[in-house]
Amino acid sequence: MIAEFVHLTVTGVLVASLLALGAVGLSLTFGVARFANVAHPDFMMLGAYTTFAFNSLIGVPLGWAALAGIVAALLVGVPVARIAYDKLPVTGTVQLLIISIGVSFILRHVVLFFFGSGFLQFAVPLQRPYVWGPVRLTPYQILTLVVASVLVLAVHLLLSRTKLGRILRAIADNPVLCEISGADVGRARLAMWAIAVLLASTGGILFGLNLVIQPNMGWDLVIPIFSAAILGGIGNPYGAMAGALVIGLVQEWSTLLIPSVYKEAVAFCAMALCLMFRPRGLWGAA
Amino acid sequence: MKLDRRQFLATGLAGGATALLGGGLARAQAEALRIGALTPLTGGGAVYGTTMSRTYTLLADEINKVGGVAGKPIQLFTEDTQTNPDAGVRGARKLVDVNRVHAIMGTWSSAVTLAVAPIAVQARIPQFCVSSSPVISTFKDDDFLYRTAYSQAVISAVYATTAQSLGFKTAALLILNNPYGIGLGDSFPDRFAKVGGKVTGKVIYNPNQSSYRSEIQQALAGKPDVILFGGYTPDGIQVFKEWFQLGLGGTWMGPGFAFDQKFIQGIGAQAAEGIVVVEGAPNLAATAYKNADKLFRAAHNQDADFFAAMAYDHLMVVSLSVLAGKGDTSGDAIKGQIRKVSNPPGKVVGTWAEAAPLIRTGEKVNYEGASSSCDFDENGDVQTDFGVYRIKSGKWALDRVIKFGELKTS
Repeated sequence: MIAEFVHLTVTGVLVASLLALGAVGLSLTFGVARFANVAHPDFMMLGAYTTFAFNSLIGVPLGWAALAGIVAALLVGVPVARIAYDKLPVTGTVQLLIISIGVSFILRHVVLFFFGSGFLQFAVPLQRPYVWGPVRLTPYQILTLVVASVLVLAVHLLLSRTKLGRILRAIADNPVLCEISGADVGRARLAMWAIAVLLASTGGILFGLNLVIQPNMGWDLVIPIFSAAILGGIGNPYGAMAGALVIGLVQEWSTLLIPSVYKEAVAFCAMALCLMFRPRGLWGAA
Repeated sequence: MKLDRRQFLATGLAGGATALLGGGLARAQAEALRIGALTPLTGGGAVYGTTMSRTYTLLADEINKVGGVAGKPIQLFTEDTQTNPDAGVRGARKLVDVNRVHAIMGTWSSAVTLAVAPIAVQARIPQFCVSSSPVISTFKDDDFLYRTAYSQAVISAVYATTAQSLGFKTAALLILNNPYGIGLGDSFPDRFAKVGGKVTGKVIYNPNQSSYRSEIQQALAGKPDVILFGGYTPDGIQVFKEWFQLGLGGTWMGPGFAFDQKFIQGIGAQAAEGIVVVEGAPNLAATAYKNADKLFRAAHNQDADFFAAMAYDHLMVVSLSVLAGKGDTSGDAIKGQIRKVSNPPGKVVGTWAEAAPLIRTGEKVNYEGASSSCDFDENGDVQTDFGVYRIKSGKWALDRVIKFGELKTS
């Protein structure tokens, strides 16, 4: 029983680290740009595919392919986000939400056109796990945990210790006041999209490393990632980390008591319950 | 040949005055046996559809070389179902309305077969499919729908018998949350109990999860001798990747359509080693299979698999039926002959060279097919044998054959 619990906890943390990389960026962009970017998980898919192109098609070793893939995802994702969300003469959260659904469709279908609908994998062999009692982790799973922790910590430092972080937090608080006081809001938003795409594409690569790559992988993650962000208090990147952890752990722990086919539903029930008592989410301002 | 008003008009429009002035009879005699090959050439069933389509061509060539069927050459019209009911229906409409085929064959995937069936029934032409839904047995098809594949209704019994014959006494199920997976989960435990086995656990999973680690651990918790996998290739790749990376061991069993070549490529030969694969087995001893294999090997340098064998049977049964009906290509005439040429009694035959002379002299034949005995029951179903394969170095290796008669189906 203890062993099973430990195993589920490890699995939950692993799931949470993948969700967190998506949810943190989503929350950041919601806080600053003030709309729910449905296409955000598709940036994860984008990073996985650009890396796949370098790794499996061109034959670059995975590490370098991942770096090149992230750069490529930035070169595609950031201009797309800037044009679709910052430059179009529309305002209003609903309009931007609908545009983001459109962006999501376009990204997915472009990938479908070039890569087809099949499941793809990076050109790396399967690994055997290290075993410490009930804990079983492969080197790539350990890498996933480390990369996710480092990136989340880096976002924290960026927001709390740098000028850019101060500006981003200021925009989130009051965009008009921030602009009046002379901050370069345009550049800050550019940086924000870059951070969001960087986190998402890295998450997508790690997801592909652990499971498989397919055009719908982003779409399939929309609900868990949004739940993590909302549970944490949408707009708050710290909350998104906590939200991802709660979703991941609750979903895995629930399988001790309830058939695992309901585990995602259980995680949503937990989210709904949390929100009943803390409507602004775990970290949201009261 | 009787001309009805529509055919008469069509002939007139197409052939002009010459057709009307006595050309009609000549046309009728030279008229081909038109076959609609409606297989998936793209999409999920592309591998199987391509094999079947190639087999139709090979056999049609063989029969045409010796003068065709009752003087009529076999003319193939090929359409791609794209493994998609919509495209299947479009293809079937074109085959029926434009090409005016005398039979449709090769539909794979039950959704496609059941979407095409009403068109064949309405046009009153036989349709041969390789789909496994039990609904196909009971479908109101006016006896126009035939299948050479096994029905899922028997598959639980096949798994139970396979597990027993390999010495597995306990089994767990890891099944997909859809009608196919749940159906397997409902029927397998009883079948397995009948042969003295015990189910240690049943885990249902949803597709497209971020992790399957907890499901895998639960399935393995009771330390079963074998884990029965009830899913498809895409989710199989994800589940088995995580299973291998957990390093927990265990032996797996599942259907051929999940553990196909794509699956083995996806997870690698090392992780796939030893998996038990259950699939319909060709009727290896029959002359029909030997001939299909010879044709396929000469043209494509590969063994004829179960799907090539089934395709061979479709075209053989239709050709023999037309020959037995003295060249009558109407759907009703073909339908009337199918069981006469393929079911006992009669002299056992398997190739055109064996069968055609006997039929011409009026002797009763019993076609023993390449994929099964091809003895069609009242539902148009056959009893196929099953091959039990183990994956060795990335390839299926035949371990044993389970005869249909060995199954405890009731």
